Amino acid sequence: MAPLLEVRDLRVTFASEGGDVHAVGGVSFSIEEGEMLAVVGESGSGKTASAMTIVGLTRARSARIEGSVRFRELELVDAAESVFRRIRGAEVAVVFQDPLSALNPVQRIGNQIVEQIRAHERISRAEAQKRAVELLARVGIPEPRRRARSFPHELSGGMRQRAMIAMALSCSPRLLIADEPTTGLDVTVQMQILEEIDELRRELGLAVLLVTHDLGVVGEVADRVAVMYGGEIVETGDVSEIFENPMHPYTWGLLGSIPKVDRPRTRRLPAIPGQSQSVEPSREGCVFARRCPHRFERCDQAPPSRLVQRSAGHFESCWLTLAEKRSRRLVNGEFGLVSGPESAGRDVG
Amino acid sequence: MLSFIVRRTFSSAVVLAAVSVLTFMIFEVIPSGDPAIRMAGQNATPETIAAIRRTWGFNRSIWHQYISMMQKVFTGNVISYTDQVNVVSQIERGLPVTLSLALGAIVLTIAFSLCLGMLGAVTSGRVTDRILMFLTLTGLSTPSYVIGAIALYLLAYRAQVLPSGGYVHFGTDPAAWFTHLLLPWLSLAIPISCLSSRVLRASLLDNVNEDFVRTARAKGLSRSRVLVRHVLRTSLIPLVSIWGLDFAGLLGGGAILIETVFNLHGVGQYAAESVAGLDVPSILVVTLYGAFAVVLLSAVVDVLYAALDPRVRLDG
Repeated sequence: MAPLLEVRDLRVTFASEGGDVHAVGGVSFSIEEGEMLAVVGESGSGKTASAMTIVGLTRARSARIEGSVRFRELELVDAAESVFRRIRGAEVAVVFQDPLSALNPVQRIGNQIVEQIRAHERISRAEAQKRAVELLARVGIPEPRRRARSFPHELSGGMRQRAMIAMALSCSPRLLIADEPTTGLDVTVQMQILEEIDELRRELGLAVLLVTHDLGVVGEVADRVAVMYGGEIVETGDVSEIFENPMHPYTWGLLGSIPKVDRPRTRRLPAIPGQSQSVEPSREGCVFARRCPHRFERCDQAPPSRLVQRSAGHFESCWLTLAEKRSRRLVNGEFGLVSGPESAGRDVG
Repeated sequence: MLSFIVRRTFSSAVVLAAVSVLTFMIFEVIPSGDPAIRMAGQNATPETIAAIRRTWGFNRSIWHQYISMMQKVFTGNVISYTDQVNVVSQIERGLPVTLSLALGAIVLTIAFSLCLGMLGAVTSGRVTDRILMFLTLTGLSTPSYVIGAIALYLLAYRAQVLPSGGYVHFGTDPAAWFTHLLLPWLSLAIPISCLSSRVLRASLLDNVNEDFVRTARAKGLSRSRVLVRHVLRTSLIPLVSIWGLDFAGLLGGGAILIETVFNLHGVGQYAAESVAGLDVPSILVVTLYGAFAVVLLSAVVDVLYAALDPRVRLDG
């Protein structure tokens, strides 16, 4: 059976005054029914652009989209706006980053949910209102009847994101795209929100595409992880494989920069040197070569084969041999790119 | 809400008192401001002038004169110095004309602004938008009396499809009321709506890129619903204050030139006559009436603002 969502060689290019900007440079992944895939990467890695393209919400009018996005066998690249309108909200729902700006500031929470329900179903306003209150209760909002009459600015950050999730779930979608759903929330609330999403996924058999820059939060909830860098997926595999047996130097760097409670506080948090880059079309070597401390001649000359299988369901793109990877990926006994104190990282805490 | 009303009433009273003092003082400082000389007419003897001064109280102190004038204003018994008729009744006579003029002009302004502003935002950057930007710039830089004069020449004089001026009461003949006011309405509405349609266009284009508009699209709403319920709804908030104060200006007798061009005996034309005759009582009352319209409408605008945007609070 075909997966719920299948993305093949997706490319997103924005035309700008200084030439084309390649936000996504050929990305492929798929999501099964009820599965949670986490797409992890720094800002500018093309993760949000990939996710937004799926529902046809790429911001710039100048975006050029190539490749294939199949949702339930329906091709969405170059699909008509009417096709998207039917799917959005009803089959694929989105939870955005920063709910304060993503919710309409002058519309009551309940009415925002009612509006979505009534866009897809022929039911009365009163019935939709009743369902909105039930949804708010379901995502753990106390006094849902009263909260339905609140405006977004009257709720706390976590509450707003819960309301956003309630709205996303209002038409029982098959796929939920969560774009950095916990960014900007308190750390304690972040985990609650992710657990809420995970719980709903299990209850409703919902597939989730979680877009995040925080590999640390992914381990608890996702089934599979795709690590993006420079508009490409550099490594993908089951969450346990990625955490226990990471193959790509960029993934090592991401794992090494997750703060840990059992690490001495005096040490600096290791960081990946350099800045993230967008895809350069003229580039000849590996996307990560410029920032990779393990780079050798080959890395600058030609890109490594795209997503080579290293073990069951575990793929990556890198020129290092398995033996080299095994000997290099540990820094001070932990995954990392470079050892902590020397790197220009920021202090913990 | 109650504290808002109390505070607003108090501050409005202060504004109106200040306006009355300033207006009254102007005639103490301008040359040939002495009303007694003008009232006595040419070839008047000094004794006549002195007698007029005594009867009307011009010989008393300026504060005394101000207070007795304000007493008359509050009792509605202000008598003009030039034609000795009651000023308040003159304004009451002009009020239906000015009210009709202001209401129609603001309705047309809102309609034009919505159409032109939305059309410009939807076609932004394309030919239609560029033509609109040029036309609205031309329109907003053309004074309403010029538009009025051209419209009069073309439609009333050459084509003779509309009357050339004057006013018919709505109760007498609604159709004639409409045809007599159509040209004045258009003349007033065109420059105002050219400006406010540009403000609306800019506001719409700002809001189109807001996150909540993307959310609205992600909900699967139709394009028109996203545009009207989410983009337009939030873009109208700043327009409310523009339209509210434009309306206050028209209602307060601000359409002096248009009332003159179209021979409408409204408050504006009365104001023009009062100024021409340097008639202190009528100028004072007309000014106070205009200031009252502005003060009242700006309070209404604030209430509307709070109703349209729940983040705005009236108290505190």
